[in-house]
Amino acid sequence: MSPAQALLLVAIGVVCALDTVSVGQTMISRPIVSATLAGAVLGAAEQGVVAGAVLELFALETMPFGASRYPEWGPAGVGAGAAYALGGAGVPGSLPLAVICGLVIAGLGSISMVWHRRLVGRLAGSLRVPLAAGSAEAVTRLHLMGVASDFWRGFAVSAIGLALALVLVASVLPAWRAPYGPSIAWALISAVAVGGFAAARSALPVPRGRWYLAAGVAIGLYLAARR
Amino acid sequence: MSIEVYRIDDRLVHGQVVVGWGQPLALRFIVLVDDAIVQSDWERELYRMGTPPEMDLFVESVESCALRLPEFDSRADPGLLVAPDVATMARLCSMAPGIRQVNVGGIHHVAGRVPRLPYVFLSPAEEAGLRALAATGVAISAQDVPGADAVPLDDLLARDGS
Amino acid sequence: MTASVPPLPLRTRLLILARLLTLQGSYNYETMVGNGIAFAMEPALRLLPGGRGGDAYRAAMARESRYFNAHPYMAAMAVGALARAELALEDPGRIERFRTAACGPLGGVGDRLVWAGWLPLCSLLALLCFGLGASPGAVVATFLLLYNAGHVALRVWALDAGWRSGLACGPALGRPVFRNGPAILARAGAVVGGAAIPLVVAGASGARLPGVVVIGAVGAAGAVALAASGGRVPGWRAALLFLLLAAVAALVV
Repeated sequence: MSPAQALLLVAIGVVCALDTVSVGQTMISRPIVSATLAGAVLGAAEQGVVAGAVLELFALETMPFGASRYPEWGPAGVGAGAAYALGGAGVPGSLPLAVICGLVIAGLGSISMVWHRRLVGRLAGSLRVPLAAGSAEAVTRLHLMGVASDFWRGFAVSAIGLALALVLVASVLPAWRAPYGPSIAWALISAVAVGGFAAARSALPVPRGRWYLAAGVAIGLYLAARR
Repeated sequence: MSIEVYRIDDRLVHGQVVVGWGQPLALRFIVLVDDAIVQSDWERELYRMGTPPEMDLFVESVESCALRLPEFDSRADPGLLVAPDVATMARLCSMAPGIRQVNVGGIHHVAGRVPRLPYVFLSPAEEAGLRALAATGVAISAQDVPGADAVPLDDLLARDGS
Repeated sequence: MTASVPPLPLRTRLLILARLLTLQGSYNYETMVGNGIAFAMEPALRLLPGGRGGDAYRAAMARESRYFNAHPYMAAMAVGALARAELALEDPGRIERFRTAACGPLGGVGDRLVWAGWLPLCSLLALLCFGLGASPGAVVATFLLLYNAGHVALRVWALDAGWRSGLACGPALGRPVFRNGPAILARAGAVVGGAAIPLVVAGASGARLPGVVVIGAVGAAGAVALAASGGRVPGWRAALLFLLLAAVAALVV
């Protein structure tokens, strides 16, 4: 990976981190997007989208409610996509390590969002008097400082995430001894468990929801058999 | 008991309630306890609009809720009761001694409150109210959504917002 | 006291929409999106008597930057409604009461429709495309175009509905799309999700049907275990623990 590629990956991570809450919420921060973009930067979009699809199953569980803590998937997708693209498709351990990388970065992002929100709270406290007096300048300043803080938070999470991806691929992947089949199965089983739980959680409260889900599974298995 | 969660939350009926708790517990009704809202047609209507059609919403005053609690508890389907503040929940508990557990789900910042958790800010009077409620044997913990850790009252009051 | 409301110029409306895209820029645990509400509404408040910096303007900015929280897309309705109320010089007490009461319903409706309905459905459709062998570009384009068609339409509609009805915008939340939409999206999501998950397994692993069934069955058992916890165990954390143990085994065995 060249320095330019590393810089571009971190930049994508920052944009995705901003998209998660502060700016846009257009969902370029979903792993299916961010991991694919990361793979494309490394010339392996086909691998990026695989890592993104697997991580997207985990992301289905996340409900970003108000002040609750939830994993952050944008930079996580970048890290996972980069790890899988660098590790290589068909290499035992490559996909599970990419998923581990993504989940760790998602957790790191979650913690960093709490710190960031506390910092913005302190900034709001320091501007309490002008805000209470109706100062538009104070409102704008707080808003811009909040976005700037989120920018640097996204930068830190993305940079650490990319470093983690590099370490896992360079140091752990060569020592991986399990064969390809079980290795990829572990990653997919965990993704199916979380994604399946999320799908069922949404479907089961709806009248006849379990039948809709069952019909979908039957269609999916039929199509999988014809692949 | 048919009411599975007794919650203090100043946003009352919102996403954490109808989706966050509603989906995993398969909630079918919500009891909203607020003496002001019960007298306001437009506010009652607003909260009704925010409640999924598959859930019943009952808007009650503290007194009427205490009277109807056995009826709610005899329902076959699970429900959630939500009150906007510590004082309202404490009054309800004093009139309905069957309530043994209270969930602090969201009390947000106003002047005079200090942060205990990102979603719980408490004034000294509210902390005293929670302690008094706990002294009557009610188990109190803070938890915004089911996937978050439940924080017991003693731990909650010792925190500094983290 | 209420006054006649001046029309909202197109430029002001566009400015508000653009600012709404950064509604949560200053999100914090004390005022939540309150500051963002004031920031988004500010172009409309310039139309108050006395203009920018006037007494009415400053009083409105002070009110609107206080605590508020709602779904970020549906908050556009609050911005529209509150902007109209401010320009109509509504009683500040009534505005404050609306701000308090609107948080929950706007959050509940938006969370059900978008976070629990539209977003997962679009995500599952993208996964279905992936499982059916679409190119990476097609997968990403399908997801982003579909999701944002709904996203942008909702923000634009919500701002307009709030502005048209002011503090009486509550009945707009009773529209069929909000009442019945989440259940319809959940049913569609169930079918698409049921189909997409086996196809993702096949697409990511290259496994044939027996392998897909084995992975799916073991994964389904994991889903049942997560469900048995009543949602109290976050799946991603449990999965991370499982994969870390598997990785240790793969390194030492």
